[in-house]
Amino acid sequence: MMYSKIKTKKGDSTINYDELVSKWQEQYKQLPGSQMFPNLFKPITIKRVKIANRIKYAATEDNFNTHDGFITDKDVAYIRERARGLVGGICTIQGVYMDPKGEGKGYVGQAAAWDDKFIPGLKRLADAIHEEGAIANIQLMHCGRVGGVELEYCVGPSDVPQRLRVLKPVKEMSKEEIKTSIKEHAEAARRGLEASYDIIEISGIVGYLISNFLSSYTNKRTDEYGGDIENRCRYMVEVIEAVRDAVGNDVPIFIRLCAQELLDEMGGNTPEESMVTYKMAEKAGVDCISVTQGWQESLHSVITRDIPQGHWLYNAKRAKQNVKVPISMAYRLFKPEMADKAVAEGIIDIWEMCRPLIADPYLPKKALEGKLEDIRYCIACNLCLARLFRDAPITCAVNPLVGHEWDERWKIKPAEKKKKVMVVGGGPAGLQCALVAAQKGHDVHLYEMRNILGGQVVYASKGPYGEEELYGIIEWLRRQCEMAGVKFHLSTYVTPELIETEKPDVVVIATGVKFVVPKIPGSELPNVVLATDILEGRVETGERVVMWGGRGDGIIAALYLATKGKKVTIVTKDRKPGVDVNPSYIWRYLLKIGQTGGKVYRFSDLEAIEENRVIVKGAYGVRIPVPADTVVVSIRETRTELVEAAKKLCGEVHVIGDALIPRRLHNAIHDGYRVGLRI
Amino acid sequence: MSFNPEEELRRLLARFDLLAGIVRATWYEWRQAALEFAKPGTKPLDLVLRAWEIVGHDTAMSYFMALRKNSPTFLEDLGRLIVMSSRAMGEDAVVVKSDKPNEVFVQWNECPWPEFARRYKADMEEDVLGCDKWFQTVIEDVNKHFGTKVKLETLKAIPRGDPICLRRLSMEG
Repeated sequence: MMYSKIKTKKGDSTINYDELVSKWQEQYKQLPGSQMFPNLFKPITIKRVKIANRIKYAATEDNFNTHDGFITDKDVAYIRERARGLVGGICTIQGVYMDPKGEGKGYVGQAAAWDDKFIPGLKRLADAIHEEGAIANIQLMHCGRVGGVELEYCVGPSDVPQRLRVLKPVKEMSKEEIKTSIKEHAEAARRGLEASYDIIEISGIVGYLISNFLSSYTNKRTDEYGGDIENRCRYMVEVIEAVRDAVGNDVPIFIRLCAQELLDEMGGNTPEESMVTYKMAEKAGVDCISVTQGWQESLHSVITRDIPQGHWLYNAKRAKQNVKVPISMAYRLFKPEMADKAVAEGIIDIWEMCRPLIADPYLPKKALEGKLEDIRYCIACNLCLARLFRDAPITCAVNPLVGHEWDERWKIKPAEKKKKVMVVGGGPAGLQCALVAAQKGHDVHLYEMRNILGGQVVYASKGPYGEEELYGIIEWLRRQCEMAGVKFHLSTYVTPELIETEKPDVVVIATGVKFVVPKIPGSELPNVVLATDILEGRVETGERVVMWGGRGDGIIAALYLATKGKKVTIVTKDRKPGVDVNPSYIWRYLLKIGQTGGKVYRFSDLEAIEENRVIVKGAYGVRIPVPADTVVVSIRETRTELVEAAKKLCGEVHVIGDALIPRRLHNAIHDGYRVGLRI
Repeated sequence: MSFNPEEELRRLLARFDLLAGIVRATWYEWRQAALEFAKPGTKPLDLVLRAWEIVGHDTAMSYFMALRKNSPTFLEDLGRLIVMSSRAMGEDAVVVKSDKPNEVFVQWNECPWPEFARRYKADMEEDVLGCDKWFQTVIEDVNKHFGTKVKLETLKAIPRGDPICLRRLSMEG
């Protein structure tokens, strides 16, 4: 998208937004999405900025930058890809920290804006966004009690102890430090403008500094920055005013604010108090408010699959009732149909997305082109977040390219020589590998012994708390494979004879795992069943169930049984159950299993099974008799019987996914992608 | 499969007792090592109180997840958590309810720590003040976290020669 620049009243150079919007609108008219989603693809004007559509990429920490805050090629390529997919929308860069000590720094690879030396790097991001015809938004983010990632402490309005051990002890800010921090926001905003950003956004959510001042949970001050809600808003108001002074009246200032903290157990703000913060922000001069809910320290689900899509729109409605500035919102709002309706109904003005655009940066573009079937939806696995909290760069389970956008070696290019590829196994690893190989131009045949694709995802998606969303990636892979010309052979068991007959150039073994019952006294009894039998509804259990094995498969089966009121005792050799399950999920899963009387024996194994009980060999080598009507086995091993035969019959054999080592969904998909590239 | 459950429990208890003994011994062994490396003139009590303060912050963090600010039994729940921590450390403690609202007592009938203090030649008063520092830190953190005004007072202490340890928990408002 070409664009030109104009001079503003203040004399600085800015984009000719009228021209940009009109160019985009001309394009939109020719594409079906503008009819399907007329509310998403209509322009909006906020202060001097005109935006061609109502779609915004929300600020996303990615840990791609250097540990001293400089922007990397990796981050520029990542952002450029998101900007390209936005087809003229708002592209927000990750929140930048603004102090030289790093007190406000919450992520090891977080970008910095505490000195002019960071402007060139920040400008590279803004330029990349502009080159793709999108609107550049810089977010200012002091992480407060989530900050100090490389220090021994963090700062906040009061030294309220942390709930989460991963976070640093809080040091109470002096008034001087508060004033410095406000000034740092203004300085960073000025740098943002110098780096060519169109919008300045202030982050005040999930436990970051502004939210710490706003919340009665974390602000116990007795001076003018604490006390009643008006006083608790003072810091936010002064930040907004300082940023306004720095950027002038015609530059839009956005803010992200929590509409519902979900901190009742700790004495956090009431939803009504949160709306006071909205009104105060509006009065102080913000031009758009992004509605969020929940804190990192709250005990409630916010962005996990158990929260239905669109659930939080009621908070956007509340915001609309309280302020007049435009409202934007992300948080479990993945589908363009739903977002378009929300804009049409006046619930939101701008549709924000974070995780959906990690999973598929081209989601808006595909919606505009009417290619909804091509959208690869986020499965809310929160791998991206789990990685951030381990100080690692983000990755995405369903989008193996995340973090590799800069790297030509990760791009799918036509194969030099067309090969006949036999992929054995229709789970995520096999499907992803087949897709990449077919996109490279190979003749790909995918064999699956069952009559359904998906491998372990078939079982995982039977979980009771929205896990059916997981199967979406299998459907997407199937559709893409079909479009790429992959030939499916379902209900076909691959034997050495079949390989000999078909004579493929390449065999990819993606046969996954099988569940096995280890041989112990009683393991042949009729009350011993497999987790897959349970999840496919083939067998009923008694009231007291022992789950033998505590990895992800066992956890899903245990949850399934717990929702039927069964008392499930998990026996695992691991140091904790669900050691392979995302931390965003496992704690609530265990809570739900515990609510129906579930128990856990860790560092434990079964020694014997009897008709009405099992003998658990527990920690300290102690035997414990545990009542059990049914024993469900969720112990798995790789299915590799074809590997040796394939190696004898074919010159190029790859083993991928669980067939290599039983792991998680993202490992399977990433294996498939990488091996697909190599064929 | 036949096995003797009593024998299994006895084995577990024996190993647990051994582990608890190792924990207490380790505490005093580390104290000794820290004093040897400490700056000249460091008072053992200052070192020990700082160590218990660190323990207190950690203990408080584990209590946050178990407490609810608006629970009508907040103070009693806090007392139960202290009892749980104490029992896990080999002590015999119970919550004693009071006739007065906003007041509960925690009573320790047995405590193995003074014996270890004696064995490692630590002062008995250090044992009392260390325990106090632990619980006072917990209470301070709980108050900061939940915005409450809980107070803890030590009324009796086994290391001082009393037959029991007794602490009063009370809450304003």
